[in-house]
Amino acid sequence: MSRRRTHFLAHIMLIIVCFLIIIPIYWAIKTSLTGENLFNYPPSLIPQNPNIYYFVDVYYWIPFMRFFMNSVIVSAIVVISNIVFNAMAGFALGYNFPGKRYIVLTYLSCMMIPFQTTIIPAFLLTKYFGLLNTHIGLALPLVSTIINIFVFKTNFDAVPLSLFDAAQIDGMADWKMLFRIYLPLARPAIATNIILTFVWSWNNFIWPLIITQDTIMRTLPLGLARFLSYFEDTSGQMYAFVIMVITPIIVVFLMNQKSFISGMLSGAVKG
Amino acid sequence: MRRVIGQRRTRILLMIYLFLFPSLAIFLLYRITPIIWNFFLSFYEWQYIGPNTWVGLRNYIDMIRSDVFWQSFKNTIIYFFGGTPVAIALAVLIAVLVNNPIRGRNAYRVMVFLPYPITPVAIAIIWQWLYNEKVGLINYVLRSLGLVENPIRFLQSFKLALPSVILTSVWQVLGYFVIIVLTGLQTIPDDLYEAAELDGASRQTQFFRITLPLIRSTIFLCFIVGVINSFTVFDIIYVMTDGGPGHATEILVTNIYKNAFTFNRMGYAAAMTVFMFLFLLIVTWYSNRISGGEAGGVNYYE
Amino acid sequence: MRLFRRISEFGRASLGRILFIAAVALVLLIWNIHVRLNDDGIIRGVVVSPEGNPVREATVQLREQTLNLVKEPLAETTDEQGNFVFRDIEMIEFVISAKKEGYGTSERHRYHLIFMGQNFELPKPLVLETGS
Repeated sequence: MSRRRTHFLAHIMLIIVCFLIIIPIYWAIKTSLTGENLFNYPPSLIPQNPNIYYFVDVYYWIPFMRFFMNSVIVSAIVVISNIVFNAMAGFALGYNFPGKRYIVLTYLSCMMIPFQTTIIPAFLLTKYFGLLNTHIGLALPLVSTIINIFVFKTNFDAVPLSLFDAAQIDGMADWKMLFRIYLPLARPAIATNIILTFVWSWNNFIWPLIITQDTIMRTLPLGLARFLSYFEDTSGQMYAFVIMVITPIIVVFLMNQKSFISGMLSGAVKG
Repeated sequence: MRRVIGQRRTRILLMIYLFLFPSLAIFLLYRITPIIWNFFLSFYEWQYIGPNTWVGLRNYIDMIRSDVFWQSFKNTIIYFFGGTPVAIALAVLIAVLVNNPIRGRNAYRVMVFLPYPITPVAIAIIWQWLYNEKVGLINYVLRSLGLVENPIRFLQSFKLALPSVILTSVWQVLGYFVIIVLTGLQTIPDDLYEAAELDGASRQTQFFRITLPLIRSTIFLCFIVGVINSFTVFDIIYVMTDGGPGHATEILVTNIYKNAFTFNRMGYAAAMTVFMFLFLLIVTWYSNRISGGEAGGVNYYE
Repeated sequence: MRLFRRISEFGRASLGRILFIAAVALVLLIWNIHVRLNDDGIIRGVVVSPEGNPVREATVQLREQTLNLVKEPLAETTDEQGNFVFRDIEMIEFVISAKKEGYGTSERHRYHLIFMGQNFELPKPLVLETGS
């Protein structure tokens, strides 16, 4: 088979695959614009009377801005503390010190513990700290992730030792080096950290489900799940809400595709 | 490895331990302590409000005797053995297609990956409506093509509910697997293919004899990711079916959640968590061994 | 000095991204200003007879369209040119109609606003018809 024929076939198959992948998202967008519900059969392919009223409804029926800000605040706490704590830990792991083997072992074994197996005690812990229903309580379990520590460590290890030695001879304190030398060179690691932790924190559902008690403290995914129990048979508004929830992540993804994809690759095992 | 100059040794050591402290504290609190706590909690019966009473192995016996538990365990296994191989196979196909030097391969890559970062709750709601028997797109297409007479109640049928949920999960995770396999594919040197073509091997032979064997470790990486993923698809199931109909889509995680926070049987839920954790540990360790060790390729100890 | 150089390096590398964020911020700002300028909650319109003549002293009823609650409708009377004005309205969706003794009642029109307190002028006059 000639090259061109193979390429043509590949294109055809890929177009079909992408079509199948994108269709549910397109359907959600279309429904959010036209609000077809149980009384509209057969469903139409192209939006017929597009309007933005469903988005307006969602904005006013539920405390959308409040949910949005909750998600934003928690994600901000998670992302920033992740960068700080993980960079610190990754940097410290570049030295040889007593007990290093045990500490690395601890980190590695924590990687084997998925979040779902810790929910009951984590809930009880948060309760005893009095952090139920607070932004900090929502953020705390995610505030550091092992994968990202090793992302930083690998990045820092790639910095030539000559830089370190030169700075040391110049009399710079070691901890200053983290901020002056290593971090500025670690842009990809920081990007990976931001992306992974932002996605995990923004999409987190089970933890807010367990921790929040007041409606006012809910995050977006939780508000989304609870929406159906308040408002029945309101497809337009439901899908407008869905679109409003997924748009930030999709926008962030499309703006940073390369970093996103390579970041997710390093995060191949969810910390 | 950075060297520590003699006289400032204590200062540097202090810095090191200080730097390690925050992350270690978090992991100690939220990962290690819970495992131990779960273990001890599983020997008590506790209604969350009120005293806890020691019951020894009673929770585990209840667990083994419970049909719901075995159903949820079975569903978790089906989720894994049903969903992951399908997803990996599809991912390999797609990755092979995308690997060709065609124009727009980046666009295809982005489009296939797009569902992965999307909030699982949102995906569950979207697909729930696609599966709807009255106005769902899937039923509409099936009926227009004349494949079925009456609409299929996907999420309400005992037989079809779990496969439907698995399909949704596969749709989401497919892009991720494609990326992993693509990376693996790119490590295969082109000369192998050229040599094979010179020898007269067809594309299929090339695929089965060269490509597949060389991406073995990549496929096992997908496997491990799939394992961890299948234990944590709580969001999708909770929103789409909540374990229903009956317990047809109940998985271990949803069972644990319900027992802990709806029925308030904390000790029993802890026992199931211990079981789930041990099982997950065994599976991960075993698949890591099969794939030949360092699936990550990072030397942690240096 | 070094800090400035680092920031400008960072900025140049992601110029497209910064432009995008700036554009979004600008749109939000303009939208905010537009809302602030037009949020007095005024709803106005005119009531006419089937021939097109304005009707004075007709009663216009404005009822909020909410999900669960049934709220009391608000009422206003038209002036000599048939105009009416409702003020300080905080509704997103409402149903409006008019009636007058001897002239009949108009159809009930439903409108959906974009933001709370939006100033809105009825696009069509309320036409009174007898026998409804």
